[in-house]
Amino acid sequence: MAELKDFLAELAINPKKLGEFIHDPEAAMTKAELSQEDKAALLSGFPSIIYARLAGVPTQQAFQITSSSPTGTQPNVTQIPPYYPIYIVLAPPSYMGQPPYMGPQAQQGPFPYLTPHFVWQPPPPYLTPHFVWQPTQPSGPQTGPPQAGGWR
Amino acid sequence: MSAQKSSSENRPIGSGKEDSKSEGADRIPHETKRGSLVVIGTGIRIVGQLTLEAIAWMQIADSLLYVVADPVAEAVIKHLNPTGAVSLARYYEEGKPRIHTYNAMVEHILRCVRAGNKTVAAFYGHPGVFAYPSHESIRRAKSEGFPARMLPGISSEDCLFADLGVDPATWGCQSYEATDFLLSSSLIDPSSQLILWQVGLLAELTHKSQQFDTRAMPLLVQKLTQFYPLSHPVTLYQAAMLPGTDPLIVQIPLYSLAEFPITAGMTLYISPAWARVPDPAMLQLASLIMG
Repeated sequence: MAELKDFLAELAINPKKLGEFIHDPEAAMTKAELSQEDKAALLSGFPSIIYARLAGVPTQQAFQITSSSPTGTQPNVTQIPPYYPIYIVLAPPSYMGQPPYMGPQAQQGPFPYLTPHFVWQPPPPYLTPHFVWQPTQPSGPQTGPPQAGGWR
Repeated sequence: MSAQKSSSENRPIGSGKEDSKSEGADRIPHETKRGSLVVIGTGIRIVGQLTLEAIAWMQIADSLLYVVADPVAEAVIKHLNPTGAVSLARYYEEGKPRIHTYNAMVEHILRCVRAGNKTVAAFYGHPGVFAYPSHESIRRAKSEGFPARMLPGISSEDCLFADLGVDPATWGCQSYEATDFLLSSSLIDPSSQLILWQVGLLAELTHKSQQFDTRAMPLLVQKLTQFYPLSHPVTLYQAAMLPGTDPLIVQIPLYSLAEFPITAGMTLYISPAWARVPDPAMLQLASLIMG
């Protein structure tokens, strides 16, 4: 039965095995004869559980590590739990990206005066210098930043 | 694992031989071989971010000195070079100023080079990004006449651009170490993106393994409000270090930054608050030149 640490280390230096893991993680882990506990930890997606298993913590205990959450008043001094704490884990695409008021929908957004005016793209050095402009019209008479006091 | 370099068994870190601070420095007589130094990066997530070139250098090194952040990376390094791999993490001590730790690492690296060893120093992430010992050891090795170079690795900044879906070429991007930003009179451009590194180590110059003091965070918020509205969204980010896990991405308003439980591995990303304002004079000059 393979150790979790050895399995992951093998993935780091063997592209074929990494490809198999990316394609079908469960099949790759079964093929490597990982224990059910290690499989469950790796499939959980929680770093704290995986680190706990890497440290040899029993499965039951490892899965309890994520039960803490950052609700309530937080102290200024952050105590580090023993196995890599997770406070909030969110997938990136759904809410994170370029600022909503800076993109193409800017004119419908809350800050229409923040529409970017142009995108400057420097020319490659081996080409004849030229400028690429992607102009947009200012959406209103105000082109500069608003007064800071209006934001607070 | 299938890529064993030799039949030598792994030497566990902390065994008796490693107690010598100059371990690895006497493996090849100075008279027979000239020492050299190559500094490599193992990436933030070693599974998938370790380059082929880095693997090759680690395998052929006489002395492979490393500072990595997770047990998988350490297992990979020990596997690639069972006889020459030595951790430099021993130089971290509770409450010890980090600069002392870094200088001890540099000294260790140079001892191996001076001893004539083909020395490889492996650091997690990109070895040239927020890594004083790597730059300093190369500088000093070169000044002593030894060949020395650095190979790039995947840094947490590279991961940030990928995970947050932002492009440093759009609006520009400023990057500061958080404490440096707080304590210096840096003027930033809030129409550009801002990245503050090691925000969980704010105003903390010593190594602490069990806790990080973030009492200086309100000062950082105060400084940032010189440039950004209090309600401006800021993003706390930490790259994924293991396969199958997600990066940590938390978006909060600037005013709540001081209350958030920030850890050492977090980076602060702030998107632009204002539009870029064109320079009319330069626009006119450019149009004259370009026709």
